[in-house]
Amino acid sequence: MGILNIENVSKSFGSRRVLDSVSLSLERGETLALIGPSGEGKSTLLRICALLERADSGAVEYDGLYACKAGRYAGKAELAACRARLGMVFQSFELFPHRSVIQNICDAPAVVQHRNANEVRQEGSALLARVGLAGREDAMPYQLSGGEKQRVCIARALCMHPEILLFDEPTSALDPQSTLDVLNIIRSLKSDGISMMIVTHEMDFAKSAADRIAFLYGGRIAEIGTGEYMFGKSTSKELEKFLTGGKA
Amino acid sequence: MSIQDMIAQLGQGMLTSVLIYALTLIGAVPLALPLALARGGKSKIARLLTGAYISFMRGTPLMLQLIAVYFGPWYLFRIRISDGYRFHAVIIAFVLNYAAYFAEIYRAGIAAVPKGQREAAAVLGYTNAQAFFRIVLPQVIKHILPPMANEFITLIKDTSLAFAIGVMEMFTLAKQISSAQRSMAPLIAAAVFYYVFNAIVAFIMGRAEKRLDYYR
Repeated sequence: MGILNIENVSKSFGSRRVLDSVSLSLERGETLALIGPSGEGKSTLLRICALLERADSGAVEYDGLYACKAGRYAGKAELAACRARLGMVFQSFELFPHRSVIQNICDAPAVVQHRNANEVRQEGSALLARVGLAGREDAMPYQLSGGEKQRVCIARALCMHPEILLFDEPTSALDPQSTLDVLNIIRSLKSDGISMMIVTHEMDFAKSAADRIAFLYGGRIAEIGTGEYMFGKSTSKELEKFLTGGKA
Repeated sequence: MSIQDMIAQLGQGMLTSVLIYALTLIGAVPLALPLALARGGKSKIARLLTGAYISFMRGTPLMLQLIAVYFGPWYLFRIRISDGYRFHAVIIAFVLNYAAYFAEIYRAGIAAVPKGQREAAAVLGYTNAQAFFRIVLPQVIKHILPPMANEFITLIKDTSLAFAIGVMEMFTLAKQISSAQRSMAPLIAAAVFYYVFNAIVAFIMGRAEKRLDYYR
């Protein structure tokens, strides 16, 4: 069993079935990339993992702790315990605009986890240095470039010490250089042993950094495997079509 | 009537006007928050009820509401109205009316904060209340300051409507003295009072907006 297990999860929006009995496990320390055409359920699946969206049926489990079993969600306390294991980085950053960079990083550890404010601030500064933003503690979010914002978001998520980090298209809104910077940071997190699930359109990154790649198509996981398998040995027609931009 | 007498009488009226103004804000600014939350919330019944309330309050004249609040207890329940109730009726009617306007402004302000902000807060483990007060509300305040400044200024002029049920605020007194003395002076004094009052409120609101300029 992995650290995050999705079992037979289905989800519909109105009459549109976005996920159709999807099962997927994220192993401890694994980096898993979710790829596929737009509108095929990648983000919905990630949001269900982040507990931002509710599955209609199936189970969502975090290392023995069930958030959802047979389509029924657990109570507030259990969900909070599940949430405590998670961190998430959004495509649109979602930094809090009225808070400085360091406050964005340190508020939740102090308020939610009741940790010592000075210790958290020191850790926040260290994390900022780690993502290449040493000395930018007091900057406001609007003073940062897109790439810098995303790096602060990663630091904010890390400061909560999550076991699982979820990334929803973290580089879709970034220029090529910022994309490289952010992807390099994500790559560096692998050595920390954090389990990561990443929705991405960066195929080179998925191929080189992910341990496994899952291809979502038609609300199902149409193919899953290592980069080597997915980009060479798979016989899936849909995957081939997707990877070649519809020319297959 | 000497100038001193006139000023003393007008001063009394000014005090009443300022009191109506302050008490209305003290009541309506917080009351509008649960109204706005119910109006934009999940419960359909609460949405319908607050929607009807706001529609009624905004769709009928404040003067009519004042009269209804003042005479309502007698007409509906034959409760004797004491003279002291006059001022209370003004405050009740003003608070109920202005809370409706403020609630709509709050609702728009809350809707203007992107959903992603709440989601980011949820993933970070904030409770709904923590997310609202630490993340959403500060951003709402920045959004709503300009339209609230408008309402704060309108309210100053609306205090003169208290004359409808005979509360001796600034405008009522100015009118009385003016006709008794056949003089324009009390009306000019009233105009100056309202103008200066407005200027002070506009200045304070401008400063508040500036203070929130530190972020975008």
